[in-house]
Amino acid sequence: MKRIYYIIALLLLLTVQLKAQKVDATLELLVSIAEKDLVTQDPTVQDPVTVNAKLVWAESKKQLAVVIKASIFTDWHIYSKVTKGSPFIPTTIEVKFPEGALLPIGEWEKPFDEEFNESSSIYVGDELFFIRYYNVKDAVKIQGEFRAGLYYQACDPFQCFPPKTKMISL
Amino acid sequence: MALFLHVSFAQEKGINFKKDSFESILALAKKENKLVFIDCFTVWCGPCKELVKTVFPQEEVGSFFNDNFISVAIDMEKGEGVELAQYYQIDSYPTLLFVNSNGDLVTRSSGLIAASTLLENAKIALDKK
Repeated sequence: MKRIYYIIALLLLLTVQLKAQKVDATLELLVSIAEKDLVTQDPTVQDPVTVNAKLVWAESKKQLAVVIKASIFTDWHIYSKVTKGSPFIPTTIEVKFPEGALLPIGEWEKPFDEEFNESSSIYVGDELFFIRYYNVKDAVKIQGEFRAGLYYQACDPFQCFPPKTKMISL
Repeated sequence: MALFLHVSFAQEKGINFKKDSFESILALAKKENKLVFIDCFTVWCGPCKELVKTVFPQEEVGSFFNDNFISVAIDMEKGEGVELAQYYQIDSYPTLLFVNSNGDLVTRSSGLIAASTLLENAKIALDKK
């Protein structure tokens, strides 16, 4: 009998977890609208990577998404992946949230990258989106500071700029 | 042995970069009455590697630079490179500097350039000497 209760409890827990992992369909729709609305400054040779970001809330206020947009100047690139031991510096997504406020749902959705050389892949283009969905774990803590951005190192075929972090207050 | 000779010959053809402290490089430049050529690079800079692979090893470049300059390649994120990057305000890589034996800047260029452009820049630096 005890075993049955145990199995039922386990199934309930699994159901709750699966429900928590599911992204609200309307939130996904709001994110796709936000992608169109999110504007970055025009990148230049002096500043070849511009970044903007925003928080997108579900109507229920129980979930939200962080949307980061990067625009890269023509002929410039930032690294998406590098092989172990490669000197090139891969882009990382940086976030600063109030501790315990959010629980991520899955991994970051990242833009398509392209193979650059034998030890690296790169991001190019002026509309690159990095998106992650979260469950709001603690609505009180949500009042704190939210920031998101990218750490990257940009190059064109002729020169490179040192690595840089660009963070946006959300 | 044949391989060793080949490597030695290949190295001699291009720019001979001294491996010494910057202070010693300047002292040598003073002693030989030459300008200093500085290849400012970082390990994560692809175009810097391209310069090393395709431009610096060229015979014409090596011959001209070895006759007229004391050359040094410095990783600007390590050792005294960090301070030099600040001093010369290096904000992109590669940056190529020509300085006198006091360390004063004579001329500079940024980015991957062709051997012919590098030679032109070197001649401009010599004219300003």
